[in-house]
Amino acid sequence: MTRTQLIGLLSTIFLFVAIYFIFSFAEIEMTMLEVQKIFYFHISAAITVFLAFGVTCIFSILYLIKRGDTYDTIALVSTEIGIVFGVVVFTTGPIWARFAWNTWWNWEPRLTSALILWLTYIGYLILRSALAEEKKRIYSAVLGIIGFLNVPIVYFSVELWQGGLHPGTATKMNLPATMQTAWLISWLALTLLYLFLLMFRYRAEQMKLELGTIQYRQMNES
Amino acid sequence: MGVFRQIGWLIHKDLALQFRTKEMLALIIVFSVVVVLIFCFAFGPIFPEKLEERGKLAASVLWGTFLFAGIITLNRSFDIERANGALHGLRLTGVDASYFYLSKVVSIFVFLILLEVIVTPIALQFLDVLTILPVALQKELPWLLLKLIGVLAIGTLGFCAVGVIVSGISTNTDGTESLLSVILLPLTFPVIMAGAKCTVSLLTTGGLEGNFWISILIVYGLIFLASSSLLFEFVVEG
Repeated sequence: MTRTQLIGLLSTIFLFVAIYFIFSFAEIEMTMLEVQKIFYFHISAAITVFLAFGVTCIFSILYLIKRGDTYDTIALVSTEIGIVFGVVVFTTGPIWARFAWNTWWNWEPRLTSALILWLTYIGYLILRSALAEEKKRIYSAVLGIIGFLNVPIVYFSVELWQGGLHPGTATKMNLPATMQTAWLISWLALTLLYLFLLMFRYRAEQMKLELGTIQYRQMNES
Repeated sequence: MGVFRQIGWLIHKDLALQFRTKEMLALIIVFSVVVVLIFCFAFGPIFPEKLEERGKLAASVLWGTFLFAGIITLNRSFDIERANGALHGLRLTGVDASYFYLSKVVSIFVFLILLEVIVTPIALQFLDVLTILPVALQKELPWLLLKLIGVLAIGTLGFCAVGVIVSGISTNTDGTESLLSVILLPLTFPVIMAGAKCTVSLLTTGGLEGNFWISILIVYGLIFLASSSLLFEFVVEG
């Protein structure tokens, strides 16, 4: 069994364990009842979004310094996965918001920063598809860094812009022990899933490059 | 050649190109006035009664207009560099990439400030903001306008800092204009938030309530000026 398969298996197991913990172990919240269960995957996915784009930023810097194609590939696949997790956040978010605050969208600082970051990195992918092969690595690395630099500024601006404390921010920190456990397990499960997807996509990207080389060689021979 | 002389010549070159034919400035001014008019027709002819509401309207009109005008200016400015390999020629003279970046920021900044000085009073008049200002503010109107231009200038500097590096990247693609907007606009959200808050506060009270928003504008500008002048080397090289 390869490392990728092992992590894939682990993440699958953890996802099922997380679902068990969410629905059987964690107590039911008083005001929101079952709807509150969205919280576990919503927050975990949001953390993974920031993690994924953070990885993109770090590997973009590494690419500019060391110029290894590996770094660029990791930055690319991490962005792609971050965007997928973003979709999870922005579908579960409104459902949560509808029941928690009686509105489909809330300008919560973390949610808003995630949205802006998400849009920035969609731009990153569009840019990559619009550039020629030799240029896109450097340019997208530059954008990968600039996009992430924006995060703290966006976060502080949105926090002040929407006017102070957010009711959810305080309550999330003092969860009952059972909820805490369920949340930790779902967070671990999604992080493992991220890692698995990263390795899987990385391998696919590498195969694509290898295939390109083989095709090129055959074309030269014939 | 000294650093400042090099940057000075580069700025001189850009400004000479921009102002040699007045067509570009005229185009951008007309464009901005038309955008302002679009907002006026959508909201008018009777604008919100409350000063704060009208201040918010004016802030969104001003910042929206200058953002779009800025994108057109950036595109145009890099089109010139791209045509006939002008940028490569410039690189052959041995000019440092960060000097080139700084000169581009300054020349676009100067151009946009000129535009803002002309369009801001027109927009405020069209939106009928000036007449409902408190009496104390009306007495010192030039001073208020000066402060408003100051805030716009700090925001514009931040916008240029990010805009120059992003358009340096996007000029190498085919779908230049739409791509620039898609990448640049999400990056400039903090400028819009902070700039609009400062504008509203200036129009309603004549001062900046707390220094938080203006600090965000300044910090944003500094962070992106510093990081982009370092990263621009890779953009030119690519």
